[in-house]
Amino acid sequence: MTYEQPSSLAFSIKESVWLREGEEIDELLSLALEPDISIREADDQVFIRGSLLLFGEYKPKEQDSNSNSYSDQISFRSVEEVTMSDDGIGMIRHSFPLDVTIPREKINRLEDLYVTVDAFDYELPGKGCIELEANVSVSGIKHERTEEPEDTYDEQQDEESDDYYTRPQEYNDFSSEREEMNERSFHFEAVREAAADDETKDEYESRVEEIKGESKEFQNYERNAAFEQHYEEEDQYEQEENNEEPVSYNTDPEIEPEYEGETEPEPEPEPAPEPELVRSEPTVNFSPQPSPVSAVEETHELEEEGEEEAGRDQTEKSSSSKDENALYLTKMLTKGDQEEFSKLRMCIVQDGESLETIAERYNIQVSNLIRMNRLNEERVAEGQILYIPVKQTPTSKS
Amino acid sequence: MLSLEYLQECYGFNHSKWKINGEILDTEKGVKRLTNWTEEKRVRWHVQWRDQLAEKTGCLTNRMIQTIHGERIILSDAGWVTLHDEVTSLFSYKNRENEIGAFFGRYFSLGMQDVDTEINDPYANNKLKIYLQQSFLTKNSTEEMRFLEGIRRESRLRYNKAKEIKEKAGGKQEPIVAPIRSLDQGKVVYGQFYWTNLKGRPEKGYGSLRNVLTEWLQRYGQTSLFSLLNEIDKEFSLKGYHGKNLLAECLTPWEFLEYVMKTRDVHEKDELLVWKEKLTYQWEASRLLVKALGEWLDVAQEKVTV
Repeated sequence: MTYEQPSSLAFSIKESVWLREGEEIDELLSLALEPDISIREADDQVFIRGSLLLFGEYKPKEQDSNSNSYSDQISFRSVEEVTMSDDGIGMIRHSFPLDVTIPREKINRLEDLYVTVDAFDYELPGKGCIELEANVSVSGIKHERTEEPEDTYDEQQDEESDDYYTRPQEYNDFSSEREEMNERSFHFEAVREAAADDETKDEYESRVEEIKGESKEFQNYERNAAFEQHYEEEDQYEQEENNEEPVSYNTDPEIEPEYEGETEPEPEPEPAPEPELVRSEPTVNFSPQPSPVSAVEETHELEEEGEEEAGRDQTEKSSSSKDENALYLTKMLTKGDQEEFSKLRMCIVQDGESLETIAERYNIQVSNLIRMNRLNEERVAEGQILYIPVKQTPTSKS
Repeated sequence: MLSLEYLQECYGFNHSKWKINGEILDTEKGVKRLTNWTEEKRVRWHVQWRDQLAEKTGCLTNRMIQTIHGERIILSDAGWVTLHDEVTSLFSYKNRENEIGAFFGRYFSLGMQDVDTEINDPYANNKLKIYLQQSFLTKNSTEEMRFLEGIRRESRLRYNKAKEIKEKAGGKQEPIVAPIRSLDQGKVVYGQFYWTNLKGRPEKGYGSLRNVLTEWLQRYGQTSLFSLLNEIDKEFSLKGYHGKNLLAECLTPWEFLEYVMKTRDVHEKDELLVWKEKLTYQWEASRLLVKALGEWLDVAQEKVTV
C-alpha cells in the first residue's frame, strides 16, 4: 500500500561569518537569513538553486590597534569605502550558495516546493565574527511509504510509537520524514564561488586517497555529535537490495570531525517497552570529490550531519585562519563528482531484533556493527539507532 | 598705494614701471614684488626667518630687499611694505632628494621658537574635535548628511589614532616655521634653487611638512619620498618624536574639518559635488601618505632597534 502526503527535508546550518578588519561590530542591530532561490526542472530532477542571503545592520566599532607596527595602526578607509546606511549603520550582506537536487518523482507539484528558514539564531563570539545557526527546510516533497513484507508494521502501532518513543535529540531534524526516508532519494549541496586553493586541494586529495584506500572512512553527522569509523573491508559493504531510496547528503570530504567521548552518538536504548517501531534507513552519502565549481577551503556543518563536531573543527581552524573560516556553510554541502562514495544507513532496532539479525540482513559482520556503533556489548535494545555502513555504487546515487 | 617715485627713491632704482599696479614692479634691476603687511611683528619675524633660512640652508629665498638706507621694511598708509625679487620659474625636484631633503631638514630645524607674534597652531582650537563628536544624522537625513556622517565616523577613528600616537610621542617642542602650502614655492633662478616664503603667520607643528610630503609622494612616488625622508632625517630627526608627531599630523582629518566648514552653508548640489571631490582627493592623498610614512617609520624603527 502506498500513500502520499506532503513532507519536507530539514537541515541545519552553523556558520561563521568574519567581517573585514576595521568593520568590526560594536552592536548588532538586526540580522536576517532569507532564501533567494530558483526552482528548475530538468531530466527528471528538480534543481533548487540560489542562496541563503544573510543581511543585517550593525553599529561599527571604532577600534584602536595595539600593534607596535605603525602600518597596522594607522590604516584608514578611503572615502569610497566609507559606506554607511541611513543611520550611520554598517550593513552586513553575505550570500551562502545553495544547490538542492530532488528527483522529480518525489514532488507532486513544483508550486508546492518551498525553501524556508524555520529557525535562526546568532552569536557574536568576537566583534569581527558572527556565528549563526539556522534550520532550513525544503517543503513540498512527496511523502511516500510502501509497505514491505519484511518491514510490516501496524500503522496504529506506529502512531502510538511516536507517543511512546522518545527520539534521540539528534533525530529531531528528521521529525517529519522519519518514515519516508526509506523511499527518498535526493541530495542537496551548496557550492562555493571561488576556486579552491592549492593547499585545500592537496588536503582534499589526501582525503580522497584515504577514502578510496583500504581504510574507508564514514562520517556520521548528528545534532550533537559526529563520529567517524574506519572500515577495512569495503567489499562487505554491499549495496542493500531494498526498495528504499537513500537520502544523500553530498558533503565535503574535508570535513573530518574528531570523535569526542562526550559527544559520541552512542545509540541510546529506549527504556520503556514500546510497540513496534518504524524502521528508518536513510542513507547518507559522501562524495569524495568536489564539484568543479566548488571550493572547499571551508568547513561546514550540517545539523543532521554532526554540526557540533564540525563546529569545533571549525572553531579550531578559525583561530588559525580567518580566510578559511569565512564561508563554512557551503563546504558541508559541496557536491562531488560521486564516482565513488560510501553511504551510511540508520536503522532503528525493532522488537525482537538482535545484532546478528541486523548484521545478517545488511550482510555485514556483527563486529563491524559493534565497531561502527561503538557498542560496549553485543546487545541492542528496541528503538536503538544503529548506523549501517554500505558501499554505494555510482548508479545508485540520486 | 605707494607711488613709483617714492619706491625709486627708497630703493635707488633709475627706471621702474608697474607690471601689476601696487604689486609687481619692473625695474632695471629686475622684476620686484611688493608685499603688504598689516602686523609689524609678523613682518619682523619673517625678516628674521628668511635671513636665518638663507644663512642656514645656503639657498636663495625671497628675502626683503634693503632700501638705500639699509631698511628692510618701509611704512605706508596701509601698513608695512617689503620688496622682493620676483622669480616665477618653477624648480624641478626630480632626482634632487638629497639637496631638497637637506633644505627641508634645515627648514624645520631652524629653531626660531621665540615668536613675538601670533602663531598658527591648528590644535589650539577644538573645532575639529567638536565636529567629530556630533552626529550629522537626523530623522530625515539627506544623502549628503549620510555621506558626511560616514566620513565623520572614519575621521573620528583617524583623530583618535592620531591623538594616541601624539600622546605616546610626548609633548616635546614642535617646530615653528613659515607656512608651506606647496612645493611650487620652490623656484629656480640662474639654475639655483630659490625658495619663496609665504607671508602667513608662523606655523607651529608639522602641517607644512605634511604638505611637502603629500605633494612629493604624489609627484615622485614612494621610493623618492623615502629618499627625501632619509635626507630630512639627517637634519631633522624623524626617527624620534618628530616622526611620530608628523605621522599624527598626517592622520588628523583636517580635510574633514575643511569640508564641513566650507559646505555648511552650501545648498547648491554642483558646489557640494566640487567640495566632495576635493575632500575625496585630499582624503586619499592623506591615506597614501600615512601609509607610506608608516612604512618608512616601521623600517626606521627596525634599524634603530637592530
